[in-house]
Amino acid sequence: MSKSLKYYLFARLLLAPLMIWTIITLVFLLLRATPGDPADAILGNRAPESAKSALREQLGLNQPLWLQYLIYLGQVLRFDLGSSLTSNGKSVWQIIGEHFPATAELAFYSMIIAVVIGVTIGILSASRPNTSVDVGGRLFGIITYSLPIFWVGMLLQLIFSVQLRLFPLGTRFPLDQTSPNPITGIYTLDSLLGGNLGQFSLSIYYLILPSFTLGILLSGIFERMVRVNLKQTLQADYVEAARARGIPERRILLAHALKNALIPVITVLGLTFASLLGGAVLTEVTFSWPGLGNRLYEAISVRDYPTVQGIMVFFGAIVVFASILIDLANAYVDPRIRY
Amino acid sequence: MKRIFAIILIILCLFPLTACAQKANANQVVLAVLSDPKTFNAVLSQESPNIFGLTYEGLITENPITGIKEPALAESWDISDDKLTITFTLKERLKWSDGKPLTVDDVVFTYNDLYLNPKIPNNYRDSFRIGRQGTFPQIKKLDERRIEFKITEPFAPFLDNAGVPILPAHILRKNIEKKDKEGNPEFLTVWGTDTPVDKIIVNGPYKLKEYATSQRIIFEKNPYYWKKDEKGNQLPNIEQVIWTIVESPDTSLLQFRSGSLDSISITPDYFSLLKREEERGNFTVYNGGAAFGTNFMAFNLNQGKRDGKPLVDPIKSAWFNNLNFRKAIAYGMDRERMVNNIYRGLGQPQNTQISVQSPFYNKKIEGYHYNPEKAKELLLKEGFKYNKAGELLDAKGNKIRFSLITNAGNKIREAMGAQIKEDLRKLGIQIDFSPLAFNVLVDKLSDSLDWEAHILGFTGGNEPHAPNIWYIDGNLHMFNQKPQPGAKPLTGQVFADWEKQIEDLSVKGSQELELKKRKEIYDQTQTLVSEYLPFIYLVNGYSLAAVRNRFNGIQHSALGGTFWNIDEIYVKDNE
Repeated sequence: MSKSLKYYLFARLLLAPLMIWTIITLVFLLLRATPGDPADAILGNRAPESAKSALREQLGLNQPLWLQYLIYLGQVLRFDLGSSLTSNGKSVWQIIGEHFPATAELAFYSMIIAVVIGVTIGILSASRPNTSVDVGGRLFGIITYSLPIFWVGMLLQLIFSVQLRLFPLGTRFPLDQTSPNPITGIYTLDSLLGGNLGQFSLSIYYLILPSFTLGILLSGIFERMVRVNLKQTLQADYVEAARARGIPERRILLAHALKNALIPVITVLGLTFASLLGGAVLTEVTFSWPGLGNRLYEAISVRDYPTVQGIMVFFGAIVVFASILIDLANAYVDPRIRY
Repeated sequence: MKRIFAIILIILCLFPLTACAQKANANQVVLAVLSDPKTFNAVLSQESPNIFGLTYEGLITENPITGIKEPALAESWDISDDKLTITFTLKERLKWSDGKPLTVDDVVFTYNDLYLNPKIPNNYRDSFRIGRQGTFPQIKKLDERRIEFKITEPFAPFLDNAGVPILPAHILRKNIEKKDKEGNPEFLTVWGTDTPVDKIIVNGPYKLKEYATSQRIIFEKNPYYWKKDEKGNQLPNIEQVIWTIVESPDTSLLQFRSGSLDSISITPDYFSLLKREEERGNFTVYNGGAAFGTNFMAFNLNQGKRDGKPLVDPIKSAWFNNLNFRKAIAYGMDRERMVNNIYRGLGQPQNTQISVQSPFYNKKIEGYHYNPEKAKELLLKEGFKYNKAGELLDAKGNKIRFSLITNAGNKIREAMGAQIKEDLRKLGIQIDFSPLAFNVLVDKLSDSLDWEAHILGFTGGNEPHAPNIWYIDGNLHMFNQKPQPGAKPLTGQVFADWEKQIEDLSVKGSQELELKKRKEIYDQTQTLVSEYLPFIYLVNGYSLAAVRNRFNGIQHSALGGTFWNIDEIYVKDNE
């Protein structure tokens, strides 16, 4: 690792807490600015005022806002995200532990689909410039980038689940079967670790529709990136030289140009990560996928402050650290990048 | 690239394996619920729907089709001649889901130590208060099979209290005796949703098998459930019930259409779509008739002042308290159009405060059918007049304009408000309609009492006794609400004779145990409400549900829902 890169990494790591603090503060304030009282959400609107006041006191919601904020900040510094108001005091870390594997699994397969589709169409588009294939590829990039995720989700469910009855909906695994023995909580991984191919294929089967929905919408980003870069690379001198040497066009494309054209995709991977988590929330809600995004949606609807704050801070921290890692990976892969 | 395609191909080849896993006709029911349960403690639960309809039974139950009280854990019950003592006799050989005997001690414990324990806040306790005096019943064990309930005045709704879940004393008694630092029983924290499901001991047809947060709750047959079919086979027939947690009703609809769910309740928006798909989807759409509950518009008739300031602008208060004004408004609203446009024809006008399907509903009351001419006639008779622009003015020349509120997010009520605004514009009345956040609305209706007119609804059942609404000091006597305890008092609040008459009749109705005589009393209350219009009743939708055709014994009912008799329903292929 070069000195400048070390310095850069050090600066980014120093800035990370500041970014996370900003997220904590924004989430804390925005949550309290939205209408709705957790006591009402927990006890019901018609619960006696005395019971509501007692609950507010118990939850510390009767304290001044600044004090609540300082208490919460103190908790987060001790890596304590608090306890859910609605799940019988279950800790937010426990909730994250229960639900994050489903989100991570969905995100992982969506990313694979996004990369496969996006890179393939990007290559096809760049290698046949100004043809109908190129126009189609560009159109694909624009359309997938602009479509609302819930609409695509609903549409795919309508076609593949309701009309064609090809894929199941509403869960990660058949309801009447034992899910893979939990090791990581990631069903595909757990089933492989347990050596159960049947469970693996079932897990994949239930993942296809939601991960395809999220993947196809993210693929546009990769398609555009690959297309532009590959097109530029294909006009580079070393490619021309390779052509002059009589190397077949297919080999030039796959062995020479593509490798270089894919380097910026790593950066895009980092940028995509934030969209991926945001998209995962919407996909999970649309498909009732039991991940952290779905849990976040539920927590917002019942004003479960600690859970919403905890999940948002967790997501924020992931994005912050993922972007640092991607930057490092980028510098490592592409020697031209200097910090 | 070839490798990627090869991997995809391999994965696709594995799918046939998955087909084996999809048991289309498994002996189970899969249903959707909107959110996770908040507790597994039946006494502390305040949510609906909840799991307890499947897991617990009370002494008796109400048949949602006939409205008749039927035996459950109790084999029979006797009411003394003075109507002040009710004796229940338990069935023999009842058992809890852990195999331990269910005895009279469990019943006495459940009532005395749980529901009636002032240290345990619960939704049921208030319903145990008897009549006007509000006393609690005395409950004691008579012998090994009989329990006696003593009340201080005859009280017909009391039998409803015999339907509350009975809980196991052998498990929970220690949690009542053990107190925390503040002296509260440990019971307040037991049987949360984090309790291992096998620790939850039940007496109903199903017990908990698995709970995965935000995913599903699985119930399995309780092998010790008391009920058997005619051939002596242990009920229920269906091995397991699965509730999947689906936050969005739109997603539930898709899941039902894809075959993932066995039943779904239908809103008017989805009716025609599902009706068209009945055959292809192999399901049946059931109509249970008008839903229980009411929708209404009400004016703030409160003439009280707080800190010397009237709650309602005196000019407007004079309109609202004018009976013919209220009648004109009732005639001016086109309820048939509401049925056609808002409910897509799947509903009917409601005329009284009692649910249409209740045996106490007074069918003779015709209600106020749309008649704008009659409305205008009534208004003119009361000194209202029209200006050149067609606007309605009162005798002093004030333009008739008032605000109408409802809870935001309830599409049906929002649509009703929009139509009422349009309908009454034809009478020259200007309405400022605004849906409000539910909390804000509740604050206005219960605390500040600062509102002019609103659209709301009450849930309903067969029992007509509703002291919260019809007693003058009731919490939901919202058209002329007394201040909440602890709130600033009102001066000058006036209660009309008809309000007092309705209250007196309600007391009388609650003390009459004979159905026919009781109905006569409630017929009178309905006549009074229809005449004086504290609530102008609107329209009630039908209770609709779609259910897969693989079940036998479905008796969808507006009161009980689709699977109220789940212990008797069976899957056809498992015959």
